Amino acid sequence: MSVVVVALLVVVALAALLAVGGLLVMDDAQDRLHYTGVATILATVALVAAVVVEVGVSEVAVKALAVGVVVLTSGPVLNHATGRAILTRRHGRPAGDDWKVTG
Amino acid sequence: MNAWLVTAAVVAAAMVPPTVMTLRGSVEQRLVALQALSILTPVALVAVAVGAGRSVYVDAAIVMALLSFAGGLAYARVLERWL
Repeated sequence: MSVVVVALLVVVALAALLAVGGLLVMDDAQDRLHYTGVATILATVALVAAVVVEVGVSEVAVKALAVGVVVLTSGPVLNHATGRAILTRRHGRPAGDDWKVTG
Repeated sequence: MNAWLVTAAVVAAAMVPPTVMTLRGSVEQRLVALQALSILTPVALVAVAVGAGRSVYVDAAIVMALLSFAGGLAYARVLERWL
């Protein structure tokens, strides 16, 4: 196991701890939401990089890349949806948004 | 225990506070904690897969990531409209 892999794994662990620390320290749900992004970006990218460095081009590396792509694309969408839901609960529906299903 | 499994253990330990948060507090706080869990779980599964040499755990991570995305969106919409 190379030093690079260990360094990347340390980044993964620290990102996870930092994200959870932010969740614990912040009081408001909107503030806490920001810290999930730390885990989404830092931990996922570092983990996928560590897998690719460790095992090279292989089945596991491709699957890990798929996990990274799914998490990196779905994370911001989920963050936005959650933030919007919280804002809507607090301040009501946005103007012009009547929830009708079209099509 | 190699570095991969140590990392998986640290990430799994980091999942304990969000798990407690999903049981306490307002529904908004619970949703945010659930979202944090949905991000950390695939990370831990991939680390376990490489550390234990079992590629099938990466499949579980892919399924977990996809389903948690759909579930999170559904939960957010329900929270927005009805809860």
